[in-house]
Amino acid sequence: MQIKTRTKNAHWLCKLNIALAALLTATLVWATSSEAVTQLRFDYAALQSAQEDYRLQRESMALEGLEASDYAGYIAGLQRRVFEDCAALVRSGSPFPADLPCPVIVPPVTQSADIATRDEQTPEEQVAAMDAMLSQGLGEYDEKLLREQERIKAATPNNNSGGGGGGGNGNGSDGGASDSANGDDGAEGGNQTTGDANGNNREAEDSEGQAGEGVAHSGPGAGGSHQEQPADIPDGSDDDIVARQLREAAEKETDPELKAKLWDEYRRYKQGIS
Amino acid sequence: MMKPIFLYLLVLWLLLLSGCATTGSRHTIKGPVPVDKSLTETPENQLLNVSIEVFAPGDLPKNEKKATGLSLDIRKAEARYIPEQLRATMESTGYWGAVRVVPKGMTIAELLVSGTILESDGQKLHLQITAQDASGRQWFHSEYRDEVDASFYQPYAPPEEAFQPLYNSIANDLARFLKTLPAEDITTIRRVAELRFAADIAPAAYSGYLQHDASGQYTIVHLPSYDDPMYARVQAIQERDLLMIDTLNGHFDNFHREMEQPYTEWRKARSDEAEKLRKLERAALNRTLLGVAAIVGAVFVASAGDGYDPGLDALSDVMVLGGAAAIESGFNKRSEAAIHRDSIEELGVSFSSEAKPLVVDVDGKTVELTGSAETQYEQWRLLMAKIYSSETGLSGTAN
Repeated sequence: MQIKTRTKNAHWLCKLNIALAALLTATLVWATSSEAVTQLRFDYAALQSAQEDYRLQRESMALEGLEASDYAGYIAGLQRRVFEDCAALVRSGSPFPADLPCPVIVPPVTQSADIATRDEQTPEEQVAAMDAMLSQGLGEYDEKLLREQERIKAATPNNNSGGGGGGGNGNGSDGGASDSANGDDGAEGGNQTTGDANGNNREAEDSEGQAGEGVAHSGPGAGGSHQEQPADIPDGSDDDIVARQLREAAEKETDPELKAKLWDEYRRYKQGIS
Repeated sequence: MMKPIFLYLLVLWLLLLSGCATTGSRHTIKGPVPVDKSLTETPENQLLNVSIEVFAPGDLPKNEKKATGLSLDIRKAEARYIPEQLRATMESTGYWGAVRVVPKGMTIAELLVSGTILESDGQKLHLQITAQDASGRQWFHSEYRDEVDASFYQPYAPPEEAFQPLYNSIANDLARFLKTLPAEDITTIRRVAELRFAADIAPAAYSGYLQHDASGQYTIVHLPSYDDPMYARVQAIQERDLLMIDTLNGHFDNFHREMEQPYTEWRKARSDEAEKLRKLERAALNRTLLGVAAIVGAVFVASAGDGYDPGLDALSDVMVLGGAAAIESGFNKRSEAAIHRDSIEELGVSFSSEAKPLVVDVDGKTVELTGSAETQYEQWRLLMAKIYSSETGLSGTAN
């Protein structure tokens, strides 16, 4: 009877140990992911603040030469840290908080499926994968249009003039405002962000089209050749997530200083990992 | 053999039939035309989106004098400028959803407005306008003609567009036709436009939803269900299409803004010179005629006298001399007129050289954006075909 009681106690003790171990692991995982999220929040806030300040100063021509180069280098470093934070979050397997930029910066890691895997997918899984591709394509297209709209806005002569003639009554026009860039303020969302494309939005131009995070006005001298890349940059076929995002950020960047620094950061990252 | 009466009836019937399909008319604008603005707010689902195509530049006048200082480059610039004016006018009326300027033949519009410039020289504007909805119904095919006096542009640039009454007139005709349509017709037009886009992006899934007859009319055969996931995907792509057109409009807006001042100045200067030219030519003609008449009169007076009346002789001499002087003065006026004609020519050359790069620029951006959109849509078409095939097990290509 006593032996039986001891065995039962040992059994309970063992269960307790397992439960404690599981609890400890879960706490550790939670703490790790929470830490990653906190770090990402911190870095992202710093990046946003720095980018905004940098662009303001560039637009007002208050930042030139070496100073601009240093500041751009700092931003490129922050950009890399945000990408690395996102990658860490991907590795931890925890979901992305909705208010952070990772869904845009890091596309779903499940996007590339080899042929063998596809063959094993059910039709539903195949449709889901293609839906994801479509969503990603739509998101990228949104970003492209957003960049184009930013360029148009930057090239608009007399931004305050309010546009076309309007439909007066023959004696005096009471003019239709005709700014075109549309209310797609939220295009930072990447996937499924459309703006109000159904119309009536041309008059709503007075909202400054908050340009998400990395795609603001082009700086002085920024031309349409932002897709060009330095000759020493490899084709990127072996890029990991962080390198790919750095490459994309550099390609999209319209400010020449920041673009150059992002390419530097890309080179450093590639050298660091290879 | 067909009897003449049957032939007559057939022709009459065809004429009546064409009359039903098209409302054609000519409008000559006289004086101010108030624009018709909606007094009530139209529900969003009853608003039609309008696409105004870049106009056809039309032909330059064959008459050399009328063509002075005009060029195809100027016409091309006007073909992009005028639709923007019409867009702003229509947008101000409250009858329409989004009003957009689009390149030719690039979009499926709920209401498509297209036009040709028949005449434009700064003082005259003559347009041919066609409006057709997505279901293939032609609303009208009309000509609009307006003329402003050269004094309109004096002494400063006018506060409003010179041909605003013409744009108001077009906008009013469109609104008038719109008001004749029952609500269900507007719903149908919107649905047809959506289904035509769906059939373009996913033909395997949606080409059977519409019937297209030989006369160009579209009829809805059936509608997709509300929870059709394929249709939701199509709508997501269509939203991007509209967003792309909005982006494109940004380029047209910028073009309009850049053109506005030089175009107004050109029209002002050209009208001024043309007015002076007209006056001089009229004066030259009058003086020449007067001179000829005086000389003819002198000959008549000389022949009427007996040759011994010194008074008549003197009168005849004076008339000959006066006539000769008047003819010479006429020639001088012609020389002056030639200077103004040269001036008009120079103004045209100068404005052409200003407008041409703007046209090239906006066209380049349009081609770039629409080209890249078309590449993107082609990829989406393939993807939609694969999704359709996976979902239904049917071929993803249209039969």
